[in-house]
Amino acid sequence: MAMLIVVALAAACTSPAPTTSPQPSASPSASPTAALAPIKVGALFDMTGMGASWGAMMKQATEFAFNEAGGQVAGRKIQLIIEDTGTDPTIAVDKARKLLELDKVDVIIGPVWTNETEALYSFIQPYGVPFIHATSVCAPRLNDPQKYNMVFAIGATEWSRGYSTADYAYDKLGYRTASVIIHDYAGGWVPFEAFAQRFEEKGGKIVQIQPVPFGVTDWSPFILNLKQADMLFLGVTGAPQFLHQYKQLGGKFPLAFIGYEWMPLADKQDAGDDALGMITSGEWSSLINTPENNAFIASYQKAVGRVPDCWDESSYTVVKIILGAINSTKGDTSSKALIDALYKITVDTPRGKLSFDPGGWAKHSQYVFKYVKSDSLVTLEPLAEHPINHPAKVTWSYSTWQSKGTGT
Amino acid sequence: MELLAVNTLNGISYGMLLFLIASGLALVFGVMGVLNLAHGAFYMLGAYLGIIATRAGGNWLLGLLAAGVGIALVGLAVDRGLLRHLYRQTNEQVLLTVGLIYILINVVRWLWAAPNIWTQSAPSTLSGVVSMLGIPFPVYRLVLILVGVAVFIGLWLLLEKTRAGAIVRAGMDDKQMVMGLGVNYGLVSSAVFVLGSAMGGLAGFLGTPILGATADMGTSTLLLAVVVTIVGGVGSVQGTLVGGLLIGLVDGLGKAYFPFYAMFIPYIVMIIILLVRPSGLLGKAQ
Repeated sequence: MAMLIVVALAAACTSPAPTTSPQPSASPSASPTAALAPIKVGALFDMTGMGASWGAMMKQATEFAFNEAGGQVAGRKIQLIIEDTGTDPTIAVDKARKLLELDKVDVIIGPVWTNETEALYSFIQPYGVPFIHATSVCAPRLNDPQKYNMVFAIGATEWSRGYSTADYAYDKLGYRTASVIIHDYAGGWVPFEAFAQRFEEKGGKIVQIQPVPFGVTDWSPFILNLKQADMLFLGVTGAPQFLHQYKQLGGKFPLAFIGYEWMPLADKQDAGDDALGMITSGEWSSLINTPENNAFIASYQKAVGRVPDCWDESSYTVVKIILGAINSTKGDTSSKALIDALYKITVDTPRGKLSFDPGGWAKHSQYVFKYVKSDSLVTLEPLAEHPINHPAKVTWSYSTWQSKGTGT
Repeated sequence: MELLAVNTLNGISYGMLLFLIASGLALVFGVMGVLNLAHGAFYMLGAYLGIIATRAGGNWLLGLLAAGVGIALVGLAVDRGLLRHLYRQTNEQVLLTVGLIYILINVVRWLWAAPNIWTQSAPSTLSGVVSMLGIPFPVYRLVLILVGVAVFIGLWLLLEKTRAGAIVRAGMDDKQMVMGLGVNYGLVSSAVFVLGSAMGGLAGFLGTPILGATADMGTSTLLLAVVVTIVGGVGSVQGTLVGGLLIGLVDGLGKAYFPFYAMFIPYIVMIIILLVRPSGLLGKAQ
């Protein structure tokens, strides 16, 4: 019996490998010899683990973008080094260490899970190498943009998505009360706090919050427990599983889903009809009708054989930005030159002309979307366009909400 | 009150699934003295094989067959190919099964990484909802309760009313004596291992309409299956059923009413029971 307990406890324990403080190494400066050396682009993608659905797409789109450019820029060949983070912050940091110290990459394309990026921002900051990723920034970057000036993100902030969802739900859809189910981690809380702050500012009321531990795939206790409200604010990964069970158990309220990029192509189709009608907030869809977007969709379809999804477009746009920056420095890939260039350039992307503001956020539109079916593919129809709204601070807190007596 | 009743029923259906998973584990442990930690991986593999077969053949029963027979064959290969070479070295056998978990999880990740969670609907004949006290409740979860009861009765009849079952029970009590009476205990152990593995695989596929399939599902479920086995008491099918129902209820009601603490509550219950009854609720005193 004692052995059973010891073995059970051992199976439950995970011990991340101990990490030492990083020893920043000087990034390569431009010299006649270095001008002929390949440009090394490191990429940290979630090829396995919970993020596997989008890691594969990011890799495919990144390779497509570099191939489209002929595998070179400013007279130098590009060497793309892709590492798998396993959707694990500990592994992500280990792989980042390998890219920076062993491979000595000039720029890193980041993964997208909030827990990974939080760990990576802190790790990469002393190295000063530009880190660019295809989704929204999280708290460390927002709270100290000067310290993290090497971090660039082309999504809206999680706050902005929460804010715009609240605006649309209250103003356009007339919702006044909301029940909430979110995964209990930064990716769930950060956008929800912004939604809650904005929704309450406008006069709405959050009637119930159910933060769900990570790893839960049987949603029935939480769905059965829902209190009456005009809408359900949903912020969970593995959404298709939730949506099927939600519909099966009655699907009581309209859904606002804060996981724009959490439902990659395969998951959208898996969710199928059970996702239709749900609203979300994000930056791109294949139904946005602009010449640059249509051109990108056509060439991607021709090369890869399918309509691009948000992960394809965002990864492609990241590469366009990197290529644009290296072009403007005429091949100088020192960190200082690249970072200066990134703050100055304007790049043509499927989202239109894109540049970064002094805070390192991409300036482009944001949309509220609705899940629809188009040519038998589940996709996003734009409902409303607006600029990305970065609030100065989000002060809403769960403990304050609980103490007001509206909590469960 | 209606909500409490429905949440209770939900907990019972999850508890039946835990019983299905744990009964295979408990059988093998009782007969062979080996805690087959690869059981969680068999459960996971059963889910994937079942889903793949269902999608390929368009028939849910095909999935059930693939999960049961497929994992039975995997169990046979593991037993004959690996475990028998560590005869009488139970600690080494347990460590080997730990290695198997990592291998199987990573093979599944390599082959079927995306999407991360594979969803599988219940068969159309079992996929409706019934109204339980005015609240919609999936028919499939009720069916799972019936399946659990049927498996329990089947196992009980096998162990209590057949000669083979008598040998298995005798072996759980005193392996040496059974061998001394001329019974080919190696064959008995292998048969139990194959049966236990098949049950794990079937449980994996039966659970997919509720839990989906992910490469990591085996490790978290294995832990709960071990808790169920400990709580119920090793060597007792009745104990495994009681343990499964208790942990299922505690887990389900915990998630409904104390979500922040839900992940800890089953383990707190295990500790309390072990302090009061170290051999488990219906286990034999050691």
